[in-house]
Amino acid sequence: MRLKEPSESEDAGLRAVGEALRNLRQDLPPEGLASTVASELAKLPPPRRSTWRRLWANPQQPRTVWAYRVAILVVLLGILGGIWRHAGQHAVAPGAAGSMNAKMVSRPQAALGPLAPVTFVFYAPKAKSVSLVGTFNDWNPEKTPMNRGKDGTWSIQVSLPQGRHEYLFLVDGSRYESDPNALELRQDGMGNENAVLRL
Amino acid sequence: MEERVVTALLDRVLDGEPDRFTPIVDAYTPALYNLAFKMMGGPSEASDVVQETFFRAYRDLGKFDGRTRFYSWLCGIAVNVCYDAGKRRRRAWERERPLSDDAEAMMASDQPTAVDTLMAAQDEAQVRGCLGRVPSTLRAALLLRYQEDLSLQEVADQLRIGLSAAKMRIQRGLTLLRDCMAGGESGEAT
Repeated sequence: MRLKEPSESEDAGLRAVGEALRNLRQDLPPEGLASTVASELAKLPPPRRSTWRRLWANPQQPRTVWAYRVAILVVLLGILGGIWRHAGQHAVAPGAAGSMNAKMVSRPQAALGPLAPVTFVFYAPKAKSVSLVGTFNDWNPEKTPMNRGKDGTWSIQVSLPQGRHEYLFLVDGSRYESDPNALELRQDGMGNENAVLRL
Repeated sequence: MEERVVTALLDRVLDGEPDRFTPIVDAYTPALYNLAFKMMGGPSEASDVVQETFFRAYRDLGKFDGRTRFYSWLCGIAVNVCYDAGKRRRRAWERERPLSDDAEAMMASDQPTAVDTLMAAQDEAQVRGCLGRVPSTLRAALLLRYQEDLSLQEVADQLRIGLSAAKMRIQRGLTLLRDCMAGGESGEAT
């Protein structure tokens, strides 16, 4: 077989051939072919979406695919477990800026049991001392002094019973600072806004 | 059948309603049969090709990604089925010595009689006869383009070749067809 170089006249010839091809009569199927095919297909197992397509489609339109639901449950449990461990040991969250530059406080979390270990963290690099005061230590600044870390973060872990607790940070023995990350605050009537922790 | 209707039906099939595939079979059987008839050079295997095409499409429906028209996808499957059937036919020829491998002779026996004029019938028979002599890879490109009205990109996609290769196949197929029809050199069907 040899492929000739096309020229304009040849192009016209080829177009004519293409037209001839296009104009070929349609060959019609024998009567009943479609129904025969359909009945044969009915004997086959129904088609399914590919695994990847199912994984992609289900979050958009959840259907009854148990594996997908189990996977979601496992992921959620993993996330919750991770948060639990993280908070119980050394949870630290960024806080808002205050008069002591910036400060940081933990989001206190409870562990299982009658007493829940809770770590409080407060960022105050220029502070000389920081104490945790609250309903759990009778607002006594000497009972729960916090420890300064190298990065200017003050922290302390205390074990608290279940229930509602109010607390503040006492900076340099004279200034009370609330927890900017507290989920709940309460005016104490003396110009302070106590952070509220519910366990 | 509109593509959005096809898409909706396919979704229902994949959602566990296999009966929704029947309208698709009804809609595309004539066009697929036409393609298979011309690819195979006659009706003897065209029905089998259509059946096998739908079988493969149904089996692999979950892999259809919707990036091409469904009919274009079907055509790609049909061409592959025709290739496979062509290989089986050649092996059978080699084993049993066919009565004739002349495509024109085969076509003549398959020719429907409903044509407008004798001249038209002769022209049509000549085109069909020459089409049967064009190698199957080029014949597939020609039929997808001129009989099934696929775009060049769709032809390329369904034959799994590049756009320029698709153009080349069509150009080459037309050239061979023209030479054959003019009584010049012609290719051998493969």
